[in-house]
Amino acid sequence: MANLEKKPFNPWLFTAAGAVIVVVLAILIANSPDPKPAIPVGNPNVVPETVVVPETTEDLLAHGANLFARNCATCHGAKGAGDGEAAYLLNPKPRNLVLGQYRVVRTLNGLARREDIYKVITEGMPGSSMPPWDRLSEKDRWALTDYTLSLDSKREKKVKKLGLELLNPVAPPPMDIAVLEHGRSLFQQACALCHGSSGRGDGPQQQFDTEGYPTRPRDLTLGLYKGGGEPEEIFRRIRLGMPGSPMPALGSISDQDAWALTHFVKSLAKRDAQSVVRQKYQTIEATRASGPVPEDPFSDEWLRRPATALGLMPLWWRETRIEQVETRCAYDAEHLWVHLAWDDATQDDSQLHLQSFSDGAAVQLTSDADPPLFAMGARGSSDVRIWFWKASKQRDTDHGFADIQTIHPNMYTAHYQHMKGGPLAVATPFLAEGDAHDPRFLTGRGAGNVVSTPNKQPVESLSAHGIGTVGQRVHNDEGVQGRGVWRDGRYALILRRPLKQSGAKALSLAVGEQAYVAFAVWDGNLGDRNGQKSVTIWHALRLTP
Amino acid sequence: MQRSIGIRARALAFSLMALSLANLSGCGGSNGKASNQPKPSSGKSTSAPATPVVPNEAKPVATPPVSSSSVGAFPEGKATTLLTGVVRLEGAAPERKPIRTDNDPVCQKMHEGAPLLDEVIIAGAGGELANVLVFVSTGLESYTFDAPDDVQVLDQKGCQYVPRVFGVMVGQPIKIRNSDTTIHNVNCQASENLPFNLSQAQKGMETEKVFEDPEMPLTFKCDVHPWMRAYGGVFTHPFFAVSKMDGSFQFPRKLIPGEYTLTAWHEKLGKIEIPVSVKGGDSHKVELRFKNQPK
Ligand code: HEC
Ligand code: HEC
Repeated sequence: MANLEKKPFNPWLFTAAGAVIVVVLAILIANSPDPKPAIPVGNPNVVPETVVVPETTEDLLAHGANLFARNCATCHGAKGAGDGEAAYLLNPKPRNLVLGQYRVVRTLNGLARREDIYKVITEGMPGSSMPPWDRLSEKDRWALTDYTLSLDSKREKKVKKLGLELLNPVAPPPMDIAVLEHGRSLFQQACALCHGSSGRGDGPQQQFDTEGYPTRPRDLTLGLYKGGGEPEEIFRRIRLGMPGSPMPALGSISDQDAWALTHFVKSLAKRDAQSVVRQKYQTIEATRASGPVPEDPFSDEWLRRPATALGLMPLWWRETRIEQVETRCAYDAEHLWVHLAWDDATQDDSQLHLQSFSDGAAVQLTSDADPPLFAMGARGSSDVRIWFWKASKQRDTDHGFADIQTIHPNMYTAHYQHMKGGPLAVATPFLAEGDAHDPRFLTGRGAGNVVSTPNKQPVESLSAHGIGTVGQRVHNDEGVQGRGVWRDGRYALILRRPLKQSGAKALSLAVGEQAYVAFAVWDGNLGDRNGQKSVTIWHALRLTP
Repeated sequence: MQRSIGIRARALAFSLMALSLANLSGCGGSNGKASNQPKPSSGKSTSAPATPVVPNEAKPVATPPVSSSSVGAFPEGKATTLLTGVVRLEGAAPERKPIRTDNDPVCQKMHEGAPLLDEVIIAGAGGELANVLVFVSTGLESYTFDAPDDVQVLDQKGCQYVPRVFGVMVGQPIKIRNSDTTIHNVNCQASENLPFNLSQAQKGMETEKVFEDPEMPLTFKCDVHPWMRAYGGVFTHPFFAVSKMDGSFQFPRKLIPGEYTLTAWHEKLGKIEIPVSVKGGDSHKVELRFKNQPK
C-alpha cells in the first residue's frame, strides 16, 4: 500500500495513451485472423468458463497436425479433404475441411470463428458419426481447431477482408400460445416445403449438399440438433442457416419472428432427445465383486448394480436405431466382467438366409494412454482388442451348429465330395463337427482355421490396428467367454476375461489402473453387419479398489 | 447489412495499407519497376487466327489477378470501339423439355397451360444461342474501373431466376428479390467469394449482396425448386455481356485499341476463348460458335 503513489491526473497523457491503444487495437484486430473468443451468449456449457485460450503458434499448429493424423484422418482424410479410409462407411460424409465451409457457425457472413470449431470438436455433431473429443485436453482441442482452420488456405484472406461479426440473439420474448401460433404460421410459409408441414423432414424435394451428397431436411420431431439444442443455438441456425447444406439463413425477418419460429421448432421436438443422442466421454467404474459373479445376464444381482448409459451412433446415420447401451463392470481376483444391456425389439440370431443378419455386440479395449481411433484403432499404434459376441453364434452354442442344411434339410441329395465315406454318404450333415468331412475338401477346417470351424462358443477374440486390419486371435488367447440372452425386446450380455495375461502383447489390467473401452452394437433386423454398426467413443474403464 | 460489413472491413484494410505504405515510403524503397503488364497495342499487330478452343465442360474460368504495381484508371478518352457480336450453336439445338413443377403447387399453378421449359440450352432456329456470358479475360490488367452504382437485380419470378445469367463488377450491388408467393432459397456457391444460402419466404423480400472478388462463375440454386439455376460472373472491369435470345451481345462501353482475349461461357456447352485485336474504328464485330456435343 505504502508505495502506491498518487500521481496528478494528466488528461493529455491519458488521451495519447488511448490513441495508441486504439491504433494498436485496430492493427491487432486486422491482423489476428480471429479476434479473441468471447464466451457465447446464453449458453454456459458451450465453452467452459475456465478455458485458457492458447495463442495460435507454429508449435500449436504442429501439435494439431499430429493430433489430426492420429484422430481425424481416418474419416477426414490425411489432408482433410473428407476422403479418409472410413469415409465410405459414413453417412453423412465427413466434412471436406479444405473448403472451409462449416454448418455450425455464429457469424453473419458464415465464416467460422475459432470457438465454433472448438465447440464442434468438443461436442461432436449428433446425427452423424462426428464424435466429440472431450476426452482430449483443452489445449489439444485448440490445437486441433487451429490446424483444422488452417486447412482452408483462403481463410486468412477472407477473415481479414470480411471479419467475423457475430449474430447476437436478442433476449427471447416470453413464450405463450400466441407466439407459438405465430411460429406455426411462419413455419408453414418458410420451412414446410423442406421440413414438411408437420416438421417431419418429409418435404417433397430431394436435396443435396454443396458437395453433391444427398441430404435431408431434419425431422424436427426428433429433437436432434447438430449445432446444439439450446434455444439460442436453434435461433442461430434459423437466422444463419447451415452453410454447405440446403438449410438456408432466414435473414430478412425480425428477431421476434425468428424467436417465434424457435419456440415452435422446440415445441415439435421429443424432450431430452439431444442429451440421449449426444455422446459424452465418461468413466466406467468396475467394482470389486464380493462373491461369485452370477452367470445369468438377466439376474437381479447384475441389473441392480448402477449402470453407465452410453450413447451409440450409427456410422451410417439412421433415425431408427439402438440409442444407448448400458454397461456394468465388475472384477474379482482373476477376471474382469463386462455386462451390457440394450433394447432391440427383434431377436435376429440366424444369418442363414441371404437377407438375414445377426445381432451382435463388441467390446473394444486398449491400455494405451493415448488410445488410437475408437473405430478399430490406427495403423502404427498398438493393437486394440475386440471381443465380438454374435447372437447367431450364441444360438449355435446353445442349440447346436446351424447351417444352410438347417433351413434346407434336403439339400444334400446330390454328389458331395467332402463327405467321408463317399459322395453319397448323405446322412451325415455338416453339424457333426469336422470328423464327418474329408479334410482334403474342406481345407480351411482341415487346417484348423477358426473361421471355418463350427462355433463352440459365442465370442470371438479379435485385434485390429486400423480399419480393414481386423484379425482373429487364434484359439482365443484373450480367454474371453460370454453369454448373451434376448428377452422381451432387450439383450443382456456378460463377457469375461482374465485380468492378467502373459506374452509379448499382453494386455493386463490391475486395480487402480485405467484402460479405455468402446462398444459396438449390430442390429441384424436393420441389416447391420461388419462396418455397418452403431458405436460409442472411447470411455475410461477403471478398476476401483 | 451484409454490404455495410464488407465495406467497413475494406475501409479498415485500406487505412492499414495506407499506414504501412507511409512507413515504406519513409525508407525510400519504391517498387518503380517497369510494368510487365500487356500494353494496349498500337494497332499494328496482325490479328491472330480465331480458332476457338472448346473444352466441352463448364469449368470455372480463372480471371487473372490484377497486379497492383502498375495499374491506372482506364483512359476513357481513348476508348473508340464498341465490341458487339453474335453467339451461335452449331448443329441441332436440343428440344426444351417441360419441367415438372408439381412439388410446389404455387409454381404449378403459375404455369398451368404453358409449362415451364427447361432453360439449359436456349437456341433459335438459326442456332442463335442465348445466355452466353461473354467477357474480356485478358488485355485489361493495367486498368482500374469504378464499380457502377446501378444495382443488378436477380429476381425469382414464376419459379425461375430472372436473369438466368448475368455479370457484375466487383463491388457492384446485387439485389436478390422474391416476386413469387412461395418460398425460394438462394444458395450461392462460390469459392473466391463467400458462399451464402438465404431464404426469402415471402413475396417482395429483397436482400442486397456485394461480391468482393472476381469469380467466374458463381452458381445460384434453389433447393426447394431444383430446376432453378442462375449463374453470375464477377469482373474487375465492365467489359462483359450476356447474349440475348437472338444470340447477340454488346459490351456496355467502348474499348481502346489493343489485343484482348475474349471468353464466352455457357453453363452446359463450356467455354470458348478467342484472341481479338481491336484496331480502332467505331465497332468491332465477332462471331462465336459453340458445338453441341452431347455427353
Ligand atoms: C468417425 C469419423 C470421424 C472422425 C474420427 C472425425 N470426424 Fe469430423 N466429421 C465427421 C463427419 C461425418 C462430419 C460431418 C457431419 C455432418 O455433416 O453432419 C464431420 C464434421 C466435422 C467438422 C465440421 C463441423 C461443421 O460445423 O460443419 C469439423 C470441423 C470436424 N469434423 C473436425 C474433426 C476433427 C478435428 C476430428 C479429429 C479430432 C474429427 N473431425 C474426427 C466424421 C468424423
Ligand atoms: C431449402 C430447404 C430448407 C428450408 C427452407 C429450411 N430448412 Fe431447416 N434444414 C434443411 C436441411 C437440409 C437441414 C439438415 C442440414 C444438415 O443436417 O446438414 C436442416 C436442418 C434444420 C435444423 C437442425 C439444426 C441443427 O442444429 O441440426 C433446424 C432446427 C431447422 N432446419 C429449422 C428450420 C426452420 C425453422 C426453417 C424455416 C424458417 C427451415 N429449417 C427451413 C433444409 C431446409
